[in-house]
Amino acid sequence: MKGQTPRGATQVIPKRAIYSLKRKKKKERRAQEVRGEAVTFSRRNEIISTIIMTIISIPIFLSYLWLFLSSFSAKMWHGLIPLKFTLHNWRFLWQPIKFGAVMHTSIWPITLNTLLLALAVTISEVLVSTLSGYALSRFRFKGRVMIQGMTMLLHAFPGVALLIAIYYVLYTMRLLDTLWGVMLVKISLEIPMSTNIIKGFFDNIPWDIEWSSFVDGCNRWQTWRYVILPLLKPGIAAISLFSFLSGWGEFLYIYTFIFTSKKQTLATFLNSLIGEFKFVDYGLLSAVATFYMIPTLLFFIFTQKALLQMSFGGRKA
Amino acid sequence: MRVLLDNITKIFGKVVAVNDLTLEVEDGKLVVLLGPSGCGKSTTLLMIAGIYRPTEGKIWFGDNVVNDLPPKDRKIGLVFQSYALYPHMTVFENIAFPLRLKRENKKEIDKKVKKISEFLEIGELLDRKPIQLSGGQQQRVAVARALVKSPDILLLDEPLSNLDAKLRVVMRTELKKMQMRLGITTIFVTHDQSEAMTVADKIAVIKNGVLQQYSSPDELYDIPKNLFVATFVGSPPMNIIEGSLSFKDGNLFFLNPDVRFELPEDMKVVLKQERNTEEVLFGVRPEDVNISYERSGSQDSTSWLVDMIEMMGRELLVTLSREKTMLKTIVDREHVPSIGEKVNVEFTGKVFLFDKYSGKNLLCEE
Repeated sequence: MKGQTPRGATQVIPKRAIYSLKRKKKKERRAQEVRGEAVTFSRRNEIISTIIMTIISIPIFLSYLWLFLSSFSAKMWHGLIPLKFTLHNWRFLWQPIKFGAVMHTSIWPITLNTLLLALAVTISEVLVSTLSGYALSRFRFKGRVMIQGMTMLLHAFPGVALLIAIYYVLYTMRLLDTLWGVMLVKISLEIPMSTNIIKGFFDNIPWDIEWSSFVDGCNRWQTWRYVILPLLKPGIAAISLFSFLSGWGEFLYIYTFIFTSKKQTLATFLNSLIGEFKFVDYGLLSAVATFYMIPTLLFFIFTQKALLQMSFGGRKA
Repeated sequence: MRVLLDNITKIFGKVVAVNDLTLEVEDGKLVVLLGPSGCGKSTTLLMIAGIYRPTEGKIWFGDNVVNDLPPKDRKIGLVFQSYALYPHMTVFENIAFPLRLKRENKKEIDKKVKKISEFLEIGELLDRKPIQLSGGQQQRVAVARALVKSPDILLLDEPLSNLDAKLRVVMRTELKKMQMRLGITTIFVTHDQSEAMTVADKIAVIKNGVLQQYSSPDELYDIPKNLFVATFVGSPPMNIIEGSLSFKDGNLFFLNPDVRFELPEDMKVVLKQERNTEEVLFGVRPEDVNISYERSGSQDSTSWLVDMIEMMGRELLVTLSREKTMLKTIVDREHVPSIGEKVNVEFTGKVFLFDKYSGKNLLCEE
């Protein structure tokens, strides 16, 4: 062993030399070095990424802070620093707002509309796309690949391009100026994407587990209920969050297909506050905007835990 | 319960996974389906489990055809290679799951889970999640889940393949012990011939979806029906040498340009029938090849060159060569040859002859 020519430190240590004490020590030291390096490297990385993320998020954070503060103040010094605390801007919660010549409807029916739209989209999407995602992931049928390709294509298609066509469709179905019409449009355009997302989660559940449950005594429904659904939680959280947000934030279709102000949603209501008059009441606007954000935040907080599991999803399955 | 596969065929699209398989598993016996990966052994198991439907043929459990019975009504327990434990349930919930589906009452479930988990020595793990268990523990949990509903038949799909080598040897002995204690009819799928030999009452060797031989481990070893079985079973594998047969002075010889062996008396009788004697394969197991170092008279015509020596622990695997013909032999460590040395060879055990084209064992009457 001693006679062997020493090799470069970077090379793999030959098997026989492992028994040599000298080499062993060297190897250990090297391993420590490598370990040490790795530690400092990752720590440095962490610091850098934290700094970058902080810098990026400061403007966003500040603007939300501004929004929040200005909704509670009567006057803003130079438009930046809040001066006097007031609840006047939040008056829309208990009384209809008179704004110039226009008398706006109370905000509560509008909030209800928005909530209905968002929930309808969420519930029907979760129902439809979990079932269709299961079929796409598990069953081999004719046209399966084509359907998958089409769903991607449909999602890539910009919604604006469909406006006129959808208008005609809704017109002939007598669904113009109804919330139902918008719900249907929204659901049908969102389903392909969430189906694709949830299909990925199904793909991660091995056949063995499903088969095991059959042998253990499940029928198809019980397999779905006791085995697949619990493993699918993160996926369901993800698509319900996405669809809720997209329903809650929907503007374009409401703006185009709804004409009666009673039937509008918060997004268009907010827009009408800005657009209708020459002057804008920033206090009121920021209060409504803050109000508009609350359910989104709540929804995110509740699904966050399940969402964060997403990354382990793959390893677990 | 007796299981009978009656001319089973399974076709996936254009691929014939299992071809006309007939097999009877006697009550209380452990039968191994043995074959290389992709040979259709797992497909056969999944058909018995009811997950796949056979394209043709019938599956009998006892006196009933079960082709149309869903898995849950077949009274079987199944253990997968991946164990397929439910990751969101604790060990207790995993084991209790089949009982809960049967709507047994809580006390009964508790009792049964306790009993089976003590039997398999996993009583301390009941509160853990599968991800917190080692491979061996996961396997025990999977076995417990399969056994807790007292099935008529236990199906094991490569249950030991995910364990490390040492644990595998321990677990296969334990599985066999458990099976004998419970007396449960068991069908065990594996590609590992030594695993098959140690646990099986009977082994079914399968290749490309076709049953090659179905017999007890020792019969499989002593009387392989064809070349595939002969080379697949036994480690290190049987030596195979190409050549031809010839009669001379009332003796039967195996010849090729490099070697000439005299074959034992009993082979003559069998080969009296008209058989292709021009192209045959000669087979002998490495442990039946003996080497000796004495220089006998005609040493040049019989001596072999030591090519390579591999350490196998208790013994050495020695590769001998004579021109282009190779022969492996097992030598104990008392008499270690050195590379380049010349030795004499003698066959002490059984030798085999196979047809070169069909692979059939020429000594098997059929």
